Amino acid sequence: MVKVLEFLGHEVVFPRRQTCCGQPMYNNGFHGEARALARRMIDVFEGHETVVTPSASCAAMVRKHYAELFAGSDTERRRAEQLAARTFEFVELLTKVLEVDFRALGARWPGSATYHYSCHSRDIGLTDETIRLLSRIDGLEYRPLERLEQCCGFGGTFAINYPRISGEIVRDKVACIAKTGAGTVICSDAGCALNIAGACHRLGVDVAFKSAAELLAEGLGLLARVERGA
Amino acid sequence: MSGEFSVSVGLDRQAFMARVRAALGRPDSPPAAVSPPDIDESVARLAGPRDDLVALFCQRAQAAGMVVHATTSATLRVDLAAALEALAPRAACVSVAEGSLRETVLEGLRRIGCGAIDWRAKGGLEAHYDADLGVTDVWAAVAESGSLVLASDAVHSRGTFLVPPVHLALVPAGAIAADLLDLLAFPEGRTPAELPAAVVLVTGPSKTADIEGILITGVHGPREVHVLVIRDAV
Amino acid sequence: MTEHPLHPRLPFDMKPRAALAAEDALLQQFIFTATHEKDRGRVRVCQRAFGERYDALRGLAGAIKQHTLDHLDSYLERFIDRAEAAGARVHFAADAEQANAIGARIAEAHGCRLCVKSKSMVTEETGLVPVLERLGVEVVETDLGEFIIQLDHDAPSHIVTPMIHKDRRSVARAFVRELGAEYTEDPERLTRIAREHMRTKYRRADLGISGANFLVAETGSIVLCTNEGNADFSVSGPPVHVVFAGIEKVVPALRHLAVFLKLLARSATAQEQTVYTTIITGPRRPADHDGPGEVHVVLVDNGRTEILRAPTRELLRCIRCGACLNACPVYRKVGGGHAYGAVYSGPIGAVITPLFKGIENYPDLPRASSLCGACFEACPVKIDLPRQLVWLRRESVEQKVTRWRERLMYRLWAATLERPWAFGLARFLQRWLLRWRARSRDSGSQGQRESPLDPRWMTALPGPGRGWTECRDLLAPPSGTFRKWWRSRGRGAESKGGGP
Repeated sequence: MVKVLEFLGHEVVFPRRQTCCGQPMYNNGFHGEARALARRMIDVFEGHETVVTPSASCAAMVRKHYAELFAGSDTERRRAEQLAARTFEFVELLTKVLEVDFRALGARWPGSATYHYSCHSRDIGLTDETIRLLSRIDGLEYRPLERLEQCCGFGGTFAINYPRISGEIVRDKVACIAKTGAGTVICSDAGCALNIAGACHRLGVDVAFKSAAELLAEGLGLLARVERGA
Repeated sequence: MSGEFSVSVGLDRQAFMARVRAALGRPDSPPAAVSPPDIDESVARLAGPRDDLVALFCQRAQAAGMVVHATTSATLRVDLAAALEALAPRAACVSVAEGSLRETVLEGLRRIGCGAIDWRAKGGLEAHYDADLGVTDVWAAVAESGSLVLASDAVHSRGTFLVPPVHLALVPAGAIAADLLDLLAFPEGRTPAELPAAVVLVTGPSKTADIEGILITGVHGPREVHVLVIRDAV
Repeated sequence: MTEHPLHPRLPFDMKPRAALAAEDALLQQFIFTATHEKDRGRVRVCQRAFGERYDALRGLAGAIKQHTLDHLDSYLERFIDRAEAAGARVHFAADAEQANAIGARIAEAHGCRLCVKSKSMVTEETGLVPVLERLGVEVVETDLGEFIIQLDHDAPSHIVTPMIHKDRRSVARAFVRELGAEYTEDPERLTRIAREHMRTKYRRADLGISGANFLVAETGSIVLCTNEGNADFSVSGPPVHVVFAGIEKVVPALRHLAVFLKLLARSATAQEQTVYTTIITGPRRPADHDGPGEVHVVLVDNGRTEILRAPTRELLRCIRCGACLNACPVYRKVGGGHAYGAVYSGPIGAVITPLFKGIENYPDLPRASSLCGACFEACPVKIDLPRQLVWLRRESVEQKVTRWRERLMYRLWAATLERPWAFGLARFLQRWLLRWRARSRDSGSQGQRESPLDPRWMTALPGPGRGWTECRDLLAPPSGTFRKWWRSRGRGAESKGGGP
């Protein structure tokens, strides 16, 4: 992600004091703890023009829930809203904010790939942006995924607390991926990737996982292409 | 009717409403006069008066599974006769307002030798179980959804469009409202008692998909609904 | 199962029922097909009808219902006044017991023997039928699905399509056993058998009971939506019609009803409209030849005023279309509604059941969700169900329904994340532990490949990791990390990256 943004001529900074946006705490009902972490995030990213994350999940937390966590304080809520307004998921930033012309970049990535639509993309209003991006990469054969809209069954601690239900859901996802015959799954949310890749390995479906950023970096020759799977 | 008995179980109105007000956080204040929200028609409207309402109604009614024929006042007699002949009913119930349309229907039935059951003399709905055809006019129709709108009154039974296995409806073009929003605009100053006791929107034949999702028509109500639209009638 | 599917012993444990369903491949297939097709159908017909306006229309419907709830006292008063002006009698039930008692009293007062009843979630909730049966009233469910479930002593598993979990063979057997019908698996013939049987009941019934899809404040009307026409038979033939309706069913005026009618059937079953939409305003008029002489409306609270309080109020916007059930990956995988152990299932059930019956009695329901948001996207009145699930999880934490070990774990985790040094240490330990585990033999790792790029997989983890590896493997962290790489570029903590 850093390499692609730099390639596009942007200056990238990584504030090392950052930890976590607090979504696990928020989702599981520990809102006091989530608020403290949100406060940290707001401080850490203070003064930075734009905040970008490869994961729609983290972006959704900041965008959808931060303001609600500070409903009690106008000043804090305003700061939360300011951070939310300048926080983007990577593909969202490229397509909706920077309006990058991918064909002109000349990215080339020969191979077949399918795309996992993470549920948090829904929260930040993303639909087929990544799919359209894939279609503009030279040599890439996009294979549509059946039941694209269906969750992979990760859901954080849901996957651990309800393994039978979560396991059945991810089994569906793996079956749909196998059906595409694609060599690579583009999946930008780490949680989904950990879950789906783990289930693919368990069920013997040999396929590589990459984020959209990794794929672009490889396609632009900024990153050595890593091959595993088919 | 034994409407005078009193049901002394449950709460009284005041006690019940007090619970609601408490939940709303205003236990002591009487309900304020509120005006309901406006409906943004640019969002909600699906059909307008400028649409070809007859064409739209026919298309939607067909899509909903009804058999639709269009005719004019001049050809009504012939087309109705053809429709009745094809349906070949033995006994029919008729809920059509007094007037020439009703006469046309009765005459058509006579011509094919089909008896018209006088359901008004035989207890309303119950008489319809002996009919194999119900013929109605409509209170209104809706182009947006292809719905027939039927209402109960002295000459319209609740059974005619419901009980016989086949329903034939006569729809004058002038009765077609563009959108549900137009049908359901209740005029200011009317009282509820001025509404018919039952207004029913019928959009297709009775159907179910309860058994393994397989679509079956004619579950309780009619399995066939035929519609004759009269293009030049109001 | 000896206990009642929808009224189980409390506290209710969802897991055994979900596990049972997971093993039933046929059930899984049924439920998947039914829900997935309806969900896709909903998207298709809504896009076709509303296009770009779909989202705005959902917003409008949600806003109308929210406004009505915010002023529910005014609208209920208006509804009661107008319903009485049209000649209906209105009754008030604080809870299930009162609702049933009112129904029983009306049946007794008229000496009713046979009741035809159309589908009603609120009577399912109050358990009205057994109460009437104890009085000697025969009660026949007239919705085909509900009728089959009644014959089979089963329980509905979906708000809209109650027998989503049953196949034609179970219908065939029930009809042979209970109706003396000839055995047939043909859905067409099965439906004919039900039609003829039901007509004998309609003609003799002296009591009709229905729910209400909507109540209209402006006119005091009640609105019923069905595809079969069973509600029209149930409330047109018998001399007495009793309506049971939750207080949240009210909409301001008929023109607002139009907005909901545009959304209800499309959201529920991907139809433009339900076949029969019936607007009842009082009993038969003096000149009418049919229709009930008496209409009673029983307004039911039964826990709704609790939900009406601010943070959960939006849940009462629900119009019971079932779209959230059809969209939900969890509902699809737990074998449908019975796994929720209550009358309302799916995402909406997961939220309102704990509110009706106590979170401590249904601790799983708010937790057994990946918060994927498909329900929110499907909801025609834009209820933010994921947000409500999270709100309930917060209540679980605050009421200490969440176990202490879990509470401790999250607090320690959060404390670590608040301190960069602790976070660094934890990352190091986690990576080291997982990589060590992946290398060690008892991890069950198959270690097929040895190159440094080759990921290492763990197939069986102890402790809290067991849930993870029950159905999937875990990838050990790679040797390099982003932070290491960033440092290796050697430009300090907050330094800039260079151009290409």
